[in-house]
Parts: sequence; C-alpha cells; structure tokens
Amino acid sequence: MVALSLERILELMRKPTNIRNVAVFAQKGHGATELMDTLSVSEAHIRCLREPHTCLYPPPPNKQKADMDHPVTVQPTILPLHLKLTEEDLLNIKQEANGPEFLINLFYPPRHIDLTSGVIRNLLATDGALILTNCLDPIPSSTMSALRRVVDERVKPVLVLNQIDRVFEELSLSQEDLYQGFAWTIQSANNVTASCNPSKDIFERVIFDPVQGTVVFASGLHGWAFTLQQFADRYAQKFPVNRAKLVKRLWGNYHFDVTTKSWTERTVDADGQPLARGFNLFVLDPILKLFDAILHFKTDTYEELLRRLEIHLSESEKELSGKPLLRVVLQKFLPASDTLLRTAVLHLPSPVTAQKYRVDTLYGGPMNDECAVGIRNCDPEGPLMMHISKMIRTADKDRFYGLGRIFSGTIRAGARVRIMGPCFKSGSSRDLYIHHIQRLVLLMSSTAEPVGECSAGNVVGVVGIDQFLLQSGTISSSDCADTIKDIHYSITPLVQVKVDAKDSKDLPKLLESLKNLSRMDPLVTTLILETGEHVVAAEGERQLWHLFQDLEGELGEVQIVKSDPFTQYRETVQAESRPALAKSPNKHNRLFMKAMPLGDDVTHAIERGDISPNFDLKSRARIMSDDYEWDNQEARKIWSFGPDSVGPNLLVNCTRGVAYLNEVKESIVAGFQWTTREAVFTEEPMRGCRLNILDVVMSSDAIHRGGGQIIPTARSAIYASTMMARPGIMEPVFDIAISCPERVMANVIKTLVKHRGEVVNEEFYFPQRTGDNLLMVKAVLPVAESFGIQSKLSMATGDQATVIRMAFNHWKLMPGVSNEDPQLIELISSIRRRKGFNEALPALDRFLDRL
Amino acid sequence: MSNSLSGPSNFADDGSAVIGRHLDVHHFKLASESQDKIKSCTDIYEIDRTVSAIKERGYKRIALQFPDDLLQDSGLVAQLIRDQTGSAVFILADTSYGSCCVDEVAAQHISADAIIHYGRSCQSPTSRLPVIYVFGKQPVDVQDCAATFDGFFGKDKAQKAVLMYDVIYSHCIDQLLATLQSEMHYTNIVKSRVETESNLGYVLSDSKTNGALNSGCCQKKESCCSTSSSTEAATGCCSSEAAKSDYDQCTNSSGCRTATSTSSTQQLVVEDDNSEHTKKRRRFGRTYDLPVGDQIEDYTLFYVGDESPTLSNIMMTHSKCDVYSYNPETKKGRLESAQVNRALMRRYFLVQKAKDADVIGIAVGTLGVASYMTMIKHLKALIESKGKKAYTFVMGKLNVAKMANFMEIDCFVYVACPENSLIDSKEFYRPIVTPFELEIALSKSREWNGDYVTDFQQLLPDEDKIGVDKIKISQTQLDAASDDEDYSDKDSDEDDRPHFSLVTGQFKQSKRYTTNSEDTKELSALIQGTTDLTVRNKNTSVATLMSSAAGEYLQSREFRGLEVALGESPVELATEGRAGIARGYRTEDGYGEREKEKY
Repeated sequence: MVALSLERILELMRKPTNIRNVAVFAQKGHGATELMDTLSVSEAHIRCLREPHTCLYPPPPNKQKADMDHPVTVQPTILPLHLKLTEEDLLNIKQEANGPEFLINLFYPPRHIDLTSGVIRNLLATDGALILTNCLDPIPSSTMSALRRVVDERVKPVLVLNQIDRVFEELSLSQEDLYQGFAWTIQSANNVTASCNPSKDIFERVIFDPVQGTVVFASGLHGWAFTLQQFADRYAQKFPVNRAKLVKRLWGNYHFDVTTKSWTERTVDADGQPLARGFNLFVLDPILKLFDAILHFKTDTYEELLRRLEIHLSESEKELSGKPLLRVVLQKFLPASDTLLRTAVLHLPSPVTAQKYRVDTLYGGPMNDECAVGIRNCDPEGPLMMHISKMIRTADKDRFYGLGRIFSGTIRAGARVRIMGPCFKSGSSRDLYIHHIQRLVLLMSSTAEPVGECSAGNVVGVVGIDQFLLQSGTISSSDCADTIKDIHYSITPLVQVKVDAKDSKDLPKLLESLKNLSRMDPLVTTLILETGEHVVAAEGERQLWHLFQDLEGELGEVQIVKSDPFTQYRETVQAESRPALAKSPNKHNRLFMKAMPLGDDVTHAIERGDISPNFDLKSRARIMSDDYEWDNQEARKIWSFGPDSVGPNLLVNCTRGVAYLNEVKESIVAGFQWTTREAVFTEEPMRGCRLNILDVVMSSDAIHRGGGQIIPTARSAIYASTMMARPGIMEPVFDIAISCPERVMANVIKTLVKHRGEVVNEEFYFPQRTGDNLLMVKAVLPVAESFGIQSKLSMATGDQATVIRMAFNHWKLMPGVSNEDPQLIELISSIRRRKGFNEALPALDRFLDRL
Repeated sequence: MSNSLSGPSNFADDGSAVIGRHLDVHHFKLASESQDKIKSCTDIYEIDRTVSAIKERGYKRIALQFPDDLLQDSGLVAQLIRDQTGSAVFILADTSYGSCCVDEVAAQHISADAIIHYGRSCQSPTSRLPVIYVFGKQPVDVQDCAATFDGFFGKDKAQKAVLMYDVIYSHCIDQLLATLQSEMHYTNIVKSRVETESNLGYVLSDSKTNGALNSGCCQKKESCCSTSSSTEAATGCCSSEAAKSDYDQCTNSSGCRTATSTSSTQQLVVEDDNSEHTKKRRRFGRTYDLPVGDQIEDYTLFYVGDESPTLSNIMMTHSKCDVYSYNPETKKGRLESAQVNRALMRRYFLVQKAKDADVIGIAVGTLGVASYMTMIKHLKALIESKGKKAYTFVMGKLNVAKMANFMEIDCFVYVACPENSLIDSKEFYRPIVTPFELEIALSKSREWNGDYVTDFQQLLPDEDKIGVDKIKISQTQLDAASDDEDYSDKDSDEDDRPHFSLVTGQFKQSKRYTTNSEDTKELSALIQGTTDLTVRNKNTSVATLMSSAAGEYLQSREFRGLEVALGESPVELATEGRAGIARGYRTEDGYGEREKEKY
C-alpha cells in the first residue's frame, strides 16, 4: 500500500493521459474478489495520507456471512492504484503519456455479473476492462454477454485467464493439454468479440492475443500473474535473443528443438522425437517445476531454481514450506499487481485516447458543439460534462454520493450546474435542475476524501444531487449541453413480487426503502399496481432475492409481507381481423379498425431501436420499405408507436379522404396508447400488433368529436379488432444454463421438460478434466415456470445441478387463442384475479358495434 | 355511485351501473304492486309524518325530490301531500348530481320553503333549506337479524359493537336494539342514529364551534323563514320520529327555531353535558356516542342493509373495524371487511397518481352539501400553493365522455357528497380522487395511514368548517403560504425537487405554474404596456402564455383549431349557418320527419 498525500493524488489526477479507468468483470467464482483483494493489499494500492473521514461501508448487521467477509463487494466502488514505469517501459506505450507515474482506477466488479445493470453502470465511467474468466472452463455466457457489452460500448478489454494455480495444483494435465485449453478459451473469447459490431471503424477490432499482451494469465487467489512479455523480458535479459521475436515464439505453433537450438513449426524433430512447444517449454515448464519442487518439498531443487530465477526470500519466508512458500515465491517471481497494472497502462486507453473515439456514442447532442469538443479532447478547461452512473450510499445511510466520470471540464464544489435527468430533452426544461454542487469526494476503496475540484478523465463522487437524480444523469455547466447517453436496457424487469408492510404505519419507511432500492439498481423498478399494491420488479428471481436481502437489511425492524413471484405477459394477435366498428358514446362518430400481426421482424426491430418513433418520417419509411417489406406509403402513415409512444405496436392510418381527421388524431392516438398499455384481456401491454384505421365517420360538429367521444371509441375499436384477430398471449422465456454431472443429465432434462422447458443443447465442459464429466445444459424455460427451479433441480438430482445463468431471451407465443383455449382462459383469469378484476373475460359484443 | 356512472359508456367494466340502478326499485315493490296503493303509499312514504311536519311549520311551497327509480310513485305522493296540506307541491325531476343529495338549487328555482327527500340519502348536511327525509320503510325480520348477530358475536356477550343500518331500515333499529339487549343480553351495543330532518342542524364533534355554527345557521334560517312568510315556522318542529333522545331533539330543534340566544345556549349546555361522558362521532349523517375512553377501533360494526355506497363508505371510513353486514332481503349475514382493504388500496393507488399530476381539475359534484364552496377554495389554495394548476369544472353528473374531453387535466378531484365521491375511475381517462386523497397527495402534513375520510367537512381547518364568510380566511392563509415560499429559500428549494413517483418508479419533476403575485404583476404590466410597441415573434403572434396549463397543452397539440390562412382563401359573403340541435340539424336529412314525429 502506498501512502500518498492528497496533493500528490490530485497531481496524478490532473494528468488525464496517465489515468486508466478500468472495470473488472467476472462470473461469480472466477476469482474476481480474490484478485481485488490481492490488489488492495499490494504495494500499488494508493492510500490517502490523511485520516479517512467517512467509512463508507461498515458491514450491515444482518448480511449473510459470505457477504460479511467481503463487504466491499456488496457496494462496489473504486480501487485506486499507482504504477511507476521505467523509462524503457514508457517507450512501449503507444499512446500519449506524461511522466512515468500512472493512476489506475480499478472498479470493483459488479456483485452479480449475470445482472446486466451492474455491468452497464461500470461501463460508462471506464475506458478499459479486465475480463476475468477461468482459464480452462468455457467462458460463461454471462461473461460473454458482459464482454459483448464492453465492446459495444467501445471499452477496450483485456482477457485475464484466472485461477491458473488450480490447473497446476488440482489437475494432472499435460503441458500440451494446458496450452490447448488456454488457446481454446482465448479463441472462444475472440469469437465473441468478432461477432460484435465490426462496423465502427474508429474503434479497432478487439482481438485477444497473448503475443500482443492482451491476455494475462493470473492467479488472483495467490497473487501472481504473467504475460508472455514478462517471460520474454526475462529471457532477453539472460540470453542474447531479440525480445520482440521471442514473444512471438512463445505462443502458437512454434516448437523449440533443444538439440539444434532452433525454432520450428514442426512438432517433431529430425529423429521423430516430439518437440516441446515454445509456450510449454519457456513459460509453463519453469512454473510447473517450481510447483513440483515446492509442493513435493524438494528443497535442493527449488533452492537452485530460486537462485536461478533471482528470487530472494527474507529470513522468515525461508522458514516456510509447501503451499505458503509457493505462494510467496510466485508473488515475488510474477507479482500480480505489477503485471495487471502494466497491462492496463500499456494496453488500455487513457481517457484522452478513449474519448476521441467514444464521443459519438457517449454524447447525445450535435458533434460540433462545445460539449462534444470538450469531451473529444478530454479538456479540463472545456465546459463541464459529467455523467453520474451510480449512486453510492453514504455510511450514515441517509444520502447518496453520485459516482460519475468527468468527460470534460472541471467540477468544483459549490459551483452552480445543470443537472439533467434521464427524461431531459434538449431545449426543454423537463427533468432539468439548476443547483449547486455541495461537495466532491474521492472514493478510494472504502474511504471518501473530500476534494475541492476534479478535472476531466477522473471519477469522482458528488454530494447533493441524489435529490434530483434517481439513478443516473448528466451534470454540465454549459447551457447548450445535451445529455451523456445512458445505455439502453433491452431488458424489462419481468419478475415481480408484491410487497407490503405488515403494519400500515410502516408504509412510509417501506416507500423510502423501495426508493433506495431502485436507486441502487437501474433494472429494478418499484411501482404500485392499480390495486394499490407495491411491486418490486427485477430481471430474475435471483436478483429479487438479493434485493430482498438489501430491503430487509435496510428496513431493520419493519416487517414486510411479500407475495410469490409472478411475471408479466404480453397480448398479441395471430391473424388479420375483419373490420371492427365502434361507435362513440353519442353515436355520432364511427371508427372502423382492423388488427393484424406486426410480424416478428418489425417487432424486434422496434424493440432493438432499428425502427424508432424518433426517426425522420421519410427515412423511417425508407427503412421499413427496404428492409421490412412495408408499403412505403403505408409506412409514412404510421401515426403512433405504443405503448408509451415507443412500444412495438403500430397505429397506421389507412383512411382515404376523411375530413377533419387531424382533429381527432390525438384522441385516437390517446386511445391507442391506452389500449396498448392495457390490453383487453389481462390489461398487460400489447406486443407486435398493427392496428389499421380503415375509416372514420365523424360528427360534423366539432363539439361532438372531442376527446371524450373519440378516446373511448378508439379503445373499443382496438379491443374489438384485436379480439377478432385470434388474440394470443405471449410469455417471457428465460435462457437457462445448468451445470450438472453427466449421470444426472436425464433428471435435469426431465425436470425442465416438466416445466415446459426446451433443451437447446448440452455440451461438455472441458472434457479432459478428470472425475465427473460436467455437462452444461442449455435450455429455454418460461419465466413463469422458472420460479424455484433451482430447488426443483436440486431435488431431482440430489443437489448436483446448479443453475449458472438465467436471463431473458424472448417473448414466446403461447399456443391457442386467448378467449378460446381453456388453458389460456385459466391463465387470463388468474391474472385478472391477481389484478383485482372481474375474473370473467370481457365479451366481444361489449366493444363491437353494428352498423 | 351507480348514478354517476350512468352516462353513456360503451366499455363499462362489469355493467354494475345498470344493476345498481335497479336495486332501489326492488325495495319499493310494495308500492307498485299493492292493491291498496294509497294506503301503502301513505305508510311507506310516511305521508302522515310529512304532512304534520309541514302543517306545523306552515310551509307553503314544497319540493319533492325523488330518486329516478321512485319517480313512478311521485304523482301519487304529491297528490296525497297536496290534498292533505294544501301547499303547493312540486316534484323535482332529474337531479343535478347524485339523487342521494338534496338538490337545493333545483328547489330554489321554484322558491320552495322546504324539500322532502325520498329514498336513500347520503345525509350530507345542507345549508339552505329545511329538509325532511323520508327513507321509506322496509320490513326487517328483527328476530332473524338478531339471531344472525348472535351468530357472529355469541361467544362474547360483552362484545363492543355499533349498530349501523341503511336508512330504509331505520324504523326498526330500536326494536332490534331492544331485542339484542333484553333478550340476548348484549351489554355493549351502541346504536347509531340518522336524522330524519335537517336544516343545517348537523352536529359537529367539536362542541366549541357549535355556538358559532348555530348562530351561523340560524341567521340563514332567518332568511329562510322570512321567505316562507310564516311566523309559525319559528316554533318547534321536533317530530316524534326525530325525538329519540334529548340530544337529537336539541340539535334538530335548535336548527329550526329562530335565532334566540336561549336555544343556542341551551344546546351548548347539553353539548357540554354530553361530551363529558360520551364521545360523539358523526359521519355522513350517522351519529353514535361511545362511552368515554373507548376508541372506535375497539368496536365491531354491524350493518343492516345490503351492499350499497353507504356500506362501502362506512367500511372505508372505519377501515380499522371489522364490519359485519346483515342483508334483510336475503336474510344473510357476512363479514365484509375482507374487501375493504382492496378498495382502500385501490384508492391509495389513485393518491399516488394524484401526486404525479401537474394540472388538477376540481369537478364540482354538489351544490347542496354545506361548505362546498369553502372546500373548493381550500383545494384551489392547496393546489396552487404546490405550484400546480387548478381548473374548476361544474359538470353535473360525471361521465366518461365528459371527463375525457379535458385531456390536459392530469387528475380530477371530485367535490361531492361522501357517497358520490368514491368513483372507481378505472373507466375514466384520468383518475378521480376525493378531496381527502388530494390532501394526502399534496400536503406533507397528511400521510396515508389507512384512515379514510370521505366527508370533506372533516378536512377543512376548524375555522373553515361553517362555510360562511370564511373564504377570506383561506385566502389569507394562502397569502401567508405564498409569503412563506417567497421568503424562505429552503422551502421553495424543497418544492423544486422531484419526488419519487411510485407510478413510474422514477423521479417525477413537478411543473411549476405560478399563479401568484409575480405572475399577476407581469400580467398587469403587460396590460398597461399594451399601448407600447411590442416586438412580434416569428409566428407573428403577440400573445403570451401566462403559465397556463391549457395553453401549454394546446401548444403541444398537433391540431389547434382552424388554421388562419389570412389572404390565402377568398373572401366570401356570409351565409346562413346551421340551426337546430346537435342530434340533428335542420339542414340534415330526415330533420323534417323527426320534427313531425315530435308533434
């Protein structure tokens, strides 16, 4: 731990070229926590010389024990690290640098990588990422999707093959097997990045290549890590070889012929004897030798090795033997902090470098205004642009620090700034607050240091904005500033649980806690149902489980009652309806409408944002006619998207020559929005419906075609037409991955099938691993059936199967027609019962009028 | 509630409006079926009592108010009363608001001296005219009812219970009470009372304001009496029915007597006397006295009557009590409390919606309930003090189509009698809340804790309660409030902050519509400055929007009325336009035929 005075730290912070903001992502169990712990006790960890003012995270009283051990991972924040490079190393930096000292802000990994929100929130503040994965296991899909997001956000990743010690210790694999295993893992990571948007040419394609140094082999637990470069350096110091050339030989199909002392791509020498691969011979072999010698107490051998490797042990360390000794030796031989930080400095971009190519994905406004220029140049003198991506709770639990990255300008305590919430639209005053910054704090692992100002490229905590921003937002000093774009979440919180305070007196407390919950996770929504019940909605059951732990910890004495989890549905149509007529209450207006399926392509395109209501009408029509086979004229007549003006349902005006139509347009659209939000049977939202207005007959008198007459008419017409278009129900489906030994696979599949799951494929984990062959069963499972699936699987397999990942995959149409199929009717009734409606399904003639 | 929804709605959720409307007729089947119509009429409509009351006070012009479903009997009743009293009798057709409320305005149109209100009544206190309530008598099997009661509470004869009932069963409650107390030996039963007559003689729980109240109403009474041109009207009017207790007698009589100081002091004395050993509660016309030291929470409610707004009202306002009901029609009893939580939570949701509203419409749903004007002023002040915009609507009975015409309104608050104000607004485009709910939503001092108030009398600050000349006070309060805002920066800061909206799960920023001094200053400056040259903006308009929500909404609309195409369309001579009514103008086809049909 290096203790620096605040002045020194601030000095470091003033050089944006020498800052690296790095996120860490790893699947639980892949050693991220251990790695962070290793780094936090390492020399590089910066501690501020002043006494810490606030302790941010005292362990909450009733957390689970596992969480108690690492309270920091409960609420991840930043680990500041310091690295001083030698002159020689400085030359290797391919980007601008200013002096040999570097500040690396390592973001603690999100608590659960399978929860997208955590990943996303770290991404906006960082420019680089360490992707940790087990060196031999297949990359978990959660890590893969995190990696995909990393690349999509133009954050540069480095692959860390972690837990390498276990490979040496536990598995008796040959060196060649290890090499193949590593190569396979790296290749699968490269496959992921290759599939990510290659079109963004400014940002070079991400390829993990050990030769380049973008792959790190690490043992987070034991605190050692290496790259091929390090080995090459060592050999280059001892032997007369070209370092750069040697590195290339250390990976891939290069074999060293000891007898001829030459490199060859062949696997056998002239005599037909197998040759050792460069990696195996020069990298794995020395480490394995150390392992072997120390773990088998061959004192003579390892002392000789230590001498040759120039590892000097202190007196006390010499006393050690076995594993502790091995640990010490390897930490000296290949210190993890040094390797990782060096990699970060050399291979990850500084804010100055990164913001040049990130500005157009980051900034929502025009690319030539002063804010965009400031961001592009990472200019500390430019207008202030800061994005708050996370709310971090203060120790006293009352307030939140807004943690954010400064992209441009300098933020000063006491300055008056514009705070823009997520609903802010340029030019309006909606969700815009002008307020002063109360205080600024540097978040350094678990302490908060007050500072006066902070400049571009840094990450800082802001006090006094939690009252304006719930989760995220932009802070700027410029009047013309638009927002830093929040990352769009494609996931809706599907799993919901009702909560209520046992005693109605505790309601205010519950509300406050619910608010704090949604602060801490952008994918958690807390709302109130029409029945007046509070609902916490999250991505999955597991997230909810964590949420409730937080909630209960926060509420303390207050007792809450929670319901069983339930999920959302969508209503859709499966065929084209005949024209439906609805008359207005005063019978003076008639509306003819027709419902038809929108088609999967268009529905997905709208959900992805490929077709958006914000597009220019003509270009949207062009896209729709070119790519989705829409009639260009019809595509221009799309009146509205719904629900909430963005959803995957379209209202299309197919009328011809109707007078005054523009007068009632807003009323019809209002009715459409309402209906798509609350569909006819379940009052769940609609999805994938296209509604055509065929004809409108209007009262000739303006007073009789007001909203009051038209809105209910539009509603009835839409209800009637959807009811005649073979209405269907869509349910959300999870993508589920289960790991289990081969022999219980049949039980796993049986359990899945029993719950309407469909197995997609099953594949072996790294098959060479001895013992039980572990299988990964991938399946899709309806969300409604996923509740408690882990315990059901455990029961069926005797605790052998584990759910590794569950994430929303798609909406699946349930078989049958909503108001005909008895099973669907049963489902609809149950939803209606839950919502407190009359259980009977509404009949068509309530909405359909006759001429 | 059913009446308020009877407007055209083609997607009523369960057709309850229709069913609800027929319920009352059911009760009065005797009237229409009986052979001896006059006799049963006399009995059911309490002609004798009515006539004696009228004669006693010498009312000359009488307004009869029937609910829609009893209108069929109105002719006969009117005839009977006219024959027996010789007064001029008018039947009020179509009530302006709910038929449970006394329609004083309609009665004043014909300068009536008194109103006789028939059928179910919400017992809202009125302010202008004397009212005689005739509920109609419905038979109750007292023994069966008592047995049902015993079935519920048989285990504990000391069970604390309050007897409540639908007004149509009021005539046999004494009998029921006697049965329970003497035959079944229940010891802790409290009976609630309803008033059969009212002219401002409502009782306030706070006895201190009573003096003021009485003087206030007596003044009114004077004016009333002078129009009735009868000196006799001033003498006591206690009907035998009403004289159930000293207490009732006093309240009723004092209201009708001329403003003699003795009567009001007399009442004051009685009041004080009473308050020493009992705790009075008055909710929607029902009064009950609890022994000192008892809370209503300790009591169980036993309601005689079938499902009705009255019952739901009682349940809402006594949400902490168990409510059992006995339906004399079906002779079945049941525990009602289960569903009340649902209803309450639903209201809670509406409160959350109201919290998010920026533009609030005050829909006036009564012109009869006392101090409704004060309430409206009070609400306006409240809304404006929060920087929100209030619009006031007088629209008679609510219906979906009417309300949806005002799309710029985010939320309506309905000022009406307690039984009418609970509108389940599922069908409405915008939520409709009660004044109480709006108070919870907007004012920090009130919080949702399960207590519910439907009667807005309880909401008004004490000094506002009487409803006369107190508007000034609320105005000064408003001024004081706005002053506070001006001077304490912190406070306005507080209001600036967004609040966490439970409806969306996000922060909601409130729009600020300034309606106070600053704006008016600006406006007056503008008016004064009209002689000066004004710079035209791009759209060649010189109009300024003065923090008008509706104006803002209009700006955001795509269609803003006819486009002005000055100079683009040729000038035409004026021609005669359409005439007639909207359901068929004279120029339209078939007009002539319809006209023929009419005559």
